[in-house]
Amino acid sequence: MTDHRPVVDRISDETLVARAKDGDADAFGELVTRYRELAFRVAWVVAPGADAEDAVQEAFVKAWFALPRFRQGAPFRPWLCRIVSNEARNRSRSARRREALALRDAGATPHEAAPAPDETVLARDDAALLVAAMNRLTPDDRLVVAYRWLFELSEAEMADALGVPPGTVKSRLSRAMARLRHVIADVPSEVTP
Amino acid sequence: MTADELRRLDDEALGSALARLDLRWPATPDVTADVAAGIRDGRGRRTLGTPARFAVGGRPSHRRRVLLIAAALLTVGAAAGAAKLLFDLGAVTIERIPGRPTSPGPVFPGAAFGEPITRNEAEAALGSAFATPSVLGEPDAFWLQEPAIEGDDPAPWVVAGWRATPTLPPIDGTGWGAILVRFRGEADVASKGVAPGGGTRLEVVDLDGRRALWIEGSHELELPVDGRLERFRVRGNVLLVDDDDDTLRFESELPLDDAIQVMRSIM
Repeated sequence: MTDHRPVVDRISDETLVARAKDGDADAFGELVTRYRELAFRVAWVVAPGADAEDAVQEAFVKAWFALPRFRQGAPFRPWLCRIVSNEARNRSRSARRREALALRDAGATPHEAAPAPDETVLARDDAALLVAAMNRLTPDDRLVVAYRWLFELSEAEMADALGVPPGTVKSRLSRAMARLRHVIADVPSEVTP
Repeated sequence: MTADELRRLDDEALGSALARLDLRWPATPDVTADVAAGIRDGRGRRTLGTPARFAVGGRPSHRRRVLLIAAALLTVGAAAGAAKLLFDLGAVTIERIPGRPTSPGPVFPGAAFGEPITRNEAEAALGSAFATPSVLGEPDAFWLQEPAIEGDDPAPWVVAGWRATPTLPPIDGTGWGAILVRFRGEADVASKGVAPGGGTRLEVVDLDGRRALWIEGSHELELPVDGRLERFRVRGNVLLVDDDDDTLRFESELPLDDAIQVMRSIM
């Protein structure tokens, strides 16, 4: 999983946002470059398929025009996630082409580091089962799970990204995980990795 | 590990397994150029300089400049003088007008305003689907108003109304529980007005990235009706939302949080 957070030697999001609010298009361009991968993956989680790219484009455009109302000092990443997910959700209603989350080909890219002892690593068939279950969740449930476990948003960031009070995040995540367990049982025993 | 064993993992263990999945994400498209083009060509409501790659022009000429709504708000201690623009939200401009009301006018009826039509007719007039809040269910009625201001093309605006229910109290003076107006176009002219009695609350809201404005309390509304501007009093609470080429105006007696939830259900 790529760490989408800015590294220390880069200009902070807050600085870039402040410049972009003042009309500095290059600063906004840097934010686009910095977050386009995350944005695309968020859109893909909500609406896998060809519409994800369009959703990301439109979300960045909307973010630009919404910047004057963006509260200075607020985190940019969850705010962008919220715009992207809304855009993807709107587009998913009319999407014709459906795709799904999938595993990489076996052995294509090995994990960079061995898992810690308390980390759960699944055999490939089990991983495929889990991915298939993720694909059976509703987009909203899938998004909550993805925010936490695939994109590693903090609870505060998830609250911003989901547009809910911080206290609601835990219950929403818990319900989504419960539904994930439920659908695991319904996935056919033979799933294609 | 069987499916049953997988199901028995607790949230942390199951989450850890998810985090370790070697997912095959599609290649991330480079949207930079398209975003720049979208900003340049699209909803150009920000007036900026001329940056090299994300150049943004002034207001796009293709947008019809037809509608005017000015809601003037009473502010404590406002000195006498010219109206001050507080907010520009597509088809809606908000101005603070010092002084006292000059012509209170009738209560804005919201619904029962214009020609009664069906949903199909409303969508034909708009040229697109008329999305309404799912949480309120199908509207009880639709109306069409086609303002005509000299020098501009007419741009219809449509109204959806929901009758009052126990959970949707009637808007004072209208008999309706909720009114949604979809304005198409952009503000062109300003008007004046003062909220009698004061106490009007004005709050800028970020509605999932869309600019929105909450107006709670009495204010005035000026609209082009049958080719002329007419002024109305508004008694309900109003949430204005910038929706690309349209501006949505949702009026009800609901508090801000509920109004946001209603508007979210059409986003």
